[in-house]
This record gives sequence, structure tokens and C-alpha cells, in this order.
Amino acid sequence: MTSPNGSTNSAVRWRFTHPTVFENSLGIVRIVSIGTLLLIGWLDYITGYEFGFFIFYFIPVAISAWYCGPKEGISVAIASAICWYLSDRFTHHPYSHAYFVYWEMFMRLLSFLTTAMTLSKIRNLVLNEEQMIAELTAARNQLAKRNNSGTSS
Amino acid sequence: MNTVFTYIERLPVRSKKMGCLLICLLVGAADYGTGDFSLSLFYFVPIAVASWFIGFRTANYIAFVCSAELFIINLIVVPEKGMFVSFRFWNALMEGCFLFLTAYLMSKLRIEMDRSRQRSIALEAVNLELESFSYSVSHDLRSPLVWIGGYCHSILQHQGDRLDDRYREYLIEACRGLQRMEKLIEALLGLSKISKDKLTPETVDLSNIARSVADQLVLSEPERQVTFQISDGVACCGDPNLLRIVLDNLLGNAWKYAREQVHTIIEFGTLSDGERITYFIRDNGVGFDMTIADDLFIPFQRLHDSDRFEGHGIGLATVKRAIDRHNGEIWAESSEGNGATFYFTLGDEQD
Repeated sequence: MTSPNGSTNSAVRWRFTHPTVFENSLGIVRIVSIGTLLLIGWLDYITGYEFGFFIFYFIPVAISAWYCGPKEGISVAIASAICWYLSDRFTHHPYSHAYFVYWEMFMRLLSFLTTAMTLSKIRNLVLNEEQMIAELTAARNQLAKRNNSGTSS
Repeated sequence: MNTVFTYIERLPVRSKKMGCLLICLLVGAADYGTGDFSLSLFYFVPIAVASWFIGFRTANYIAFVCSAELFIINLIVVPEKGMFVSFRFWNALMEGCFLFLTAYLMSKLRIEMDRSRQRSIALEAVNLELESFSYSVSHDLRSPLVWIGGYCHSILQHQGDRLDDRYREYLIEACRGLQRMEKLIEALLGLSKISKDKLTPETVDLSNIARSVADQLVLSEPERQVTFQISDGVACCGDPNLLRIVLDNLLGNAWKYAREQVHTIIEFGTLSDGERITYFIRDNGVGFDMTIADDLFIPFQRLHDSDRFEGHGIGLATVKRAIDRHNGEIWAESSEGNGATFYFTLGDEQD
């Protein structure tokens, strides 16, 4: 797995951080992200409102947005906000005004949505760039092939 | 929105930094003033502005200042009632982490977008340069060819009788070569022109164009037995000149590669899957091997021997470029000896 120059390490790291690495098993990615979301929601619930779990909701949002795309990312962001709200509601977080919980939920939702959309955008840029490089390489290879055949004939 | 972006972009870096810091302090003051009505999301604004318009380092610095404000407000100034200090610390830490995460993601997005834009600009410039180069080369090659052709014809016309048969044959061959080269240059100029000309989309009657191309082909070789089966009322939205070139080339190819058949059948029609229309041109000619179908649309690439079927290998590349400009797709299906079918689609939004 490792090599003295670390090239294999970087290759392995690249392989798993690439947005299309789980392209053939998106169902599993969806299940993992939903499972993670439910687990975080449950942990958030059992640890009570005082112990904030807000940052961990970004994990399923990031997984979905990065590996599956914007639609899944946004769906999981909405689901995360709902989970956060339910957890906060059922742990009886006291607010000085009842509507504050909705405001808090709205802010969480915006945070999750922003993260999902930013990651999806980066994902698309990375994929577009790779596609462009692939097309340019193919064109260069075709040119080289033609030049070679021209030289040999 | 764009005006605001341009305005911020043009501000000096120092003003941007001061502006971000000011917003950060204002949000902190407002957050303090509103008590347990949290405004933590608004800390996102100066961080996003700093990430987008200044850079990752400044964004981190602003995120640090915002986090410090959050810590002070949540831990000291307006702590949530009845909550342990450790929990308050943890919650402020979480909010701070979110701010750093935002700074990182926004900066990363900006870097990726800049890189992508720069690559696109560089590629467009290179492409334009190549197009201009091939256009000017093709154009400049023409005039010496005209001279050479003129001199060859003149010699043949005025002194042809005095030349012995061998040298006359050489001159005739040279004239034929010049004609081939003129056609090739014409095709190359056509290929460059297709990318350069502005599209003027309108409703085009493809059936009419196909019929007029078919008439021309029949006139060129009236002795051939050919049946054209052209569907009526095939229309689309596109550039009439480019679509004429497409049909000219595709029907011309069908005509050419079905030459060895006693009775040629060429068909033009459409297929529809409910969502989009696919146009097709089918012939019963020699066809080609599908394993080398990828080379079909590459300039100068020929799948058949030029002694058997004349041509320069530019036609299908020109067709592909015309279809690309209509945001469409083109592909072909065939098997050797069983004819070929070329399919193409046209996009809704055109270049």
C-alpha cells in the first residue's frame, strides 16, 4: 500500500476522494449517508440540547453532495435540518420565544444547503476539468496516431 | 448582482479587508444585542466575501475573528442559562469549526472556478489561433496553385503538340493533382468557415433541402439507378446554410459509397423517442467496419481506399462541426457490405 516515495499513498488518497469513485455503488453511498445522518440525529438526541452536534451533520451532507451530486446533497441537507429540529424539539431545548427554534432551524438549513451547493459546484468543476483533459488527451493521441501512420507510410 | 460583484472586485484589497472586518464586528455586536436570538449564520457573510474576493489567508483570519467573537459572546457575555461552561465552550467551538469550514470551501470554490476560467480562456485562444492559422494557410496556398495551374494549362494548350507523349502525360497528371489540391483547400476553408460564421437559426425544411441535393446528385450521374426515399415535412430549427452542408455531405457520401450497387437506395427520415427527434440517412452501399467508426469524423481520416472512392476526408469532419454548432450529436451504424446509417440530432439551444 505504501511506497518510499509516497506515490502509492497519494494515488490511494486520490482514488477515494475522487467524486466518481463510488459511481457504480451510489445506492450504498445514499444508504451510508442516510445511516450516518440518522446516527448523528440519534446521538444529538441522547446527548441533549446542551451538547451541540451541529457540525457533524455536515458529514452526510458532504458525502451526498460530493459522491452523488447536487440533488442528493440538497435532499440530505434538508433531511439534516429536519433531523436537527426533531432532536432539538424532543430534547426540550428552552428558548425565550417559541419561534426561535424555527429561526435556528432555518439557519442550520441555510448552512447545510450552502455546504451542499458549494461542494457540488466544486465537484462539477473537477469533473468538467477532467472531462476536458480527457478530450484533449484523446485529440492529442489521435493526432500522434495519425502522424505516426503518416510517417510509417 | 453582477454590478455589486464587480464593484467589490474593483475595491483595493485593504478596503476589502477593512470592510470584512467591519461586517464581522457589526454582526458580533448585533449577535450580542439580540441575546439568545442567534445570528451565528451572519458571520458567514464576511467570511464568504473574504474567501471570494481576497483569498484563503484573509478568510481564515476573518473566520478566526468571528470565532473569537462567538466564544466571547457564548461563554462570557450572554451565556445560555443553566448550561455548563464545557458545553458552552464545545458549542462555540462547533460554530467556529463551521466558520473555518466555510472559509475553506468558499476559497476552494473560487480557486477551482478561476482555474477553470483560465483554462477555458487559454484553450479558446489556442483554438482561435489554430483556426486562423489553418484558414490563412489554406487561403495563402490558393494563389500559388492558381499560378501553377495556369502555367500548366497554358503549356498544354499552346505547346502541347510539340511535347512528346510522355511529358504531356506528366503535365496532365500535374493538372489533375492541382485540381485535387484545390478541392482539398476548398474543403479545408469550408471546415474553417463553419466554425467562424455566425449562426442564424430559423425554421428549415430539411425534406426540401434533401430533395434538391438528391436532384443535383442525379444530374451528376444520370445513368445510375437510384431511388431516393425522402420523408415529407421534416423540419427543424437551425442554420439553413450549415444544414445544407450537412445534408450535402451525408447524401453525397451515401451516393458515393453505394456506387457499386446495381440499384442504389438512399433514405432520409426521422425517428422519435418522444423526447427528441433523430434524423437519419441510410444507404445500401459498401458500409464500414464498426471497430474503426471512431475515426469517421476525424479530418483526413478515410475508411476506404482513395482509388476506389475519391475524397479527401474532410466531409464528415465538416458535418460533425456543423452538428456540434447546433449542440447536436452525430453517430453512425454499419457493417461491411450492408450499407451505413448516419444519425444526427440537433440541440434546442444553439451555439
